[in-house]
Amino acid sequence: MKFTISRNSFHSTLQKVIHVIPAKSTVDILYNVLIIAEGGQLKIIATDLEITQVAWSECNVEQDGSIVVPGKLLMDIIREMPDLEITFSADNNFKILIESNFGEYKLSGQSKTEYPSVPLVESDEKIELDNSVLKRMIEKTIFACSTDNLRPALTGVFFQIFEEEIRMVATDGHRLVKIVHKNSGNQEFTKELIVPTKALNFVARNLPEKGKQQITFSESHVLFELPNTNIYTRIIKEPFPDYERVIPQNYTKEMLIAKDDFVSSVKRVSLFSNPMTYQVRLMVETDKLTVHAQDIDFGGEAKETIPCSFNSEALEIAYNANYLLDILRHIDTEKIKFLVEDSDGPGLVYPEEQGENEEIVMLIMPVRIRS
Amino acid sequence: MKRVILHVDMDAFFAAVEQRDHPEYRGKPVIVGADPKGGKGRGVVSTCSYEAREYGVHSAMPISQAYKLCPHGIYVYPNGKLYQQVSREIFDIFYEFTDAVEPLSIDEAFLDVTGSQKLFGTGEQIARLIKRRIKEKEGLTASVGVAPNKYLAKIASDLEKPDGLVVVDAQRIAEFLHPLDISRLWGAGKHTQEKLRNMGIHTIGDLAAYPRDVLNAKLGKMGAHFYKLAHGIDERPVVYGEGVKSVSNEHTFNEDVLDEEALLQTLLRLSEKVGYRLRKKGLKGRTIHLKLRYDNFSTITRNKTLPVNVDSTQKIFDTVQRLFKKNYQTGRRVRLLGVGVSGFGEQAGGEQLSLFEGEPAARSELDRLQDILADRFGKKIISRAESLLKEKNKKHK
Repeated sequence: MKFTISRNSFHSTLQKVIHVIPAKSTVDILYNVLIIAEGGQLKIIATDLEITQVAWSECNVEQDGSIVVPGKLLMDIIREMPDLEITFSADNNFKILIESNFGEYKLSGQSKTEYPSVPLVESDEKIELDNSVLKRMIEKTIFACSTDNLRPALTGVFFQIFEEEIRMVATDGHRLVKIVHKNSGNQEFTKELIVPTKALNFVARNLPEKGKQQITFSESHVLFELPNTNIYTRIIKEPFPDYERVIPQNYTKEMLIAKDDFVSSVKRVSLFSNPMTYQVRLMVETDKLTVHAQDIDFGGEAKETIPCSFNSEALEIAYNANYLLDILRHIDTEKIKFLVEDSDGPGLVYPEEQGENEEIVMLIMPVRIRS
Repeated sequence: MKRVILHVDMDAFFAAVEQRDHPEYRGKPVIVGADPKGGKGRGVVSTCSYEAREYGVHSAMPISQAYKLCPHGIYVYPNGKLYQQVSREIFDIFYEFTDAVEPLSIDEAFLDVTGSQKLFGTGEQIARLIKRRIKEKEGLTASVGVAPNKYLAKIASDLEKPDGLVVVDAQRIAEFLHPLDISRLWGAGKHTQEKLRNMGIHTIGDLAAYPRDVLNAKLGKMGAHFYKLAHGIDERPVVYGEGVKSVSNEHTFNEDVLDEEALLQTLLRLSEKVGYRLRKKGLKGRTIHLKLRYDNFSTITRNKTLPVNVDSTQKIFDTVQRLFKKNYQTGRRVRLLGVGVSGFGEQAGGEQLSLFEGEPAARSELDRLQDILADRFGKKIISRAESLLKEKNKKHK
């Protein structure tokens, strides 16, 4: 094989897929990328067996061919090059020669026969989403996913596709986010599936600001078709917990509070919380909220009071400050609606007003205060 | 959830044991303590029977004074070993009902039976069962207080001694507490009591009605403390499991092992053992330890402290597995593996609650079932499929 390409095109193509390469794997071939040159196009493929990403760009192909190359090494070489023409060639013994005006670099590759194949995703079940909507839905959910591999269902985002709306739900058991995009076209099918968080991270990273993207669902995989790159991900085949059941419907006690005040207070006060638990106590009264943290082990203590309005009698409730901040940061309105019923039940967090065609609700579970 | 705390106090413990073992002492004033030496003895009364109390003798009284009050009493030198033996047997009865047993001394303890009610009935029923068990097994009587916290339970157990049972209804704390004399206040010595009486406070009810800020001004820090007690508030948990600093298990391989899967499987088995022992003891620890000895005897120990105390096999294994993967030098032969849990103290914060309470609980349920089967049929009867499959594979190789 032999092709010529500008360093910048090579770099940006490789850059797209390089993060898919696993940091640690028992399957050595996954440390490599598969390079294919054919039909005037350079294609680079990386996979960790869960996620496969393909990126491409135009190039001048002198001789079609393919080869498997150590990904990190290739990236390191290309990254340090200035933007020049690069000629990349490989012979039948998988010896690679990279040439530029500066000099030449030789390395060994291997045959593509060992490299895992790209999943086939053929299905009529497709949806189309505005980039801005998809990006927003991903960003609002993935932070709440679990990293606990013992609960695989929670390590991804739950997609629910209905005829008139698309929902994404994420939870790690301690907090939960549900975001609904309404009037999202007319899907002719309904579907529920869990998409791994890591894949969604890659999708968000490769999404341009404008435009629409197509998402295809097969039985085992999801395909995100993005500009100059496709991302394939395996679906997590586990039952997602019945999340609707845990979202309370009958709450009446509501606190309205300025988001920035709340976030800054919790940030400052939580510096004094115990570094293992990050526990902060909130005392909600009709006209004020007191945020209190104490680290018994080291003797630190902090307390702040900020205005709020609460329509019920005083209530004390404790949270992990990190969970709380995660939730609050993802609310976009100036004021936050915070609903609580008692100090053991979930807190419900809403923006003061829902966005157009959107419904978002977040839940946070408290830390039990010793009685 | 409202707590249910029992305070169990043996009645005239040492003297009662002596009377039990010496029928000829029964119905007579028995005074356990120093040798009175005809009234010239030094030392004090350790315990005396209720018969002796009628003569005005009480514990901690100088033995010479006791002799004056009751010269014909039966004076017995304490038999510490015997009392300890009996005490252990009584504590074993407590552990039949809960693991949350905080010993206060050889003959009294707090029991948190909040979680035992599903199995054994209400706090009052548990108290009756405990009293009956002690009576049947040891031939001794105990007085029990049942209340929503330690302070009230302790007061309650003392009200109807001997062989008493007093239940403090959580809804009627004031009714129970307010008529009591302030000498019942925990932490109020003679001096403080006098001070309170000078302020016109004679009963706990008087104290509860007293303006809080005046109390604070007059008594300082103790003011807040007494204010809480007067309203029956006491948040101290029943502290148990102290004494044991860590629970650990080790395994030395017959032949040094290279296979990472086999090592992980051993870690799982050790985690199961440690988890089982923790749950038996009613302990939950925060720090998980890994011990790893290579074939050349170089040994590393690593630990990780979790935000919450755990006793579940799965949690222990998760952590120890992570420690192992981070620290094991692939390709080296391993001679010994060890798994341990320590840090049983009260955790820094409360328990993070979960939205789907079914799931983690289901896992604890697995632990619970495994423990029951292990108790009944031996520890090999059941283990996690991961460790079973591996063993099967090995046999096929």
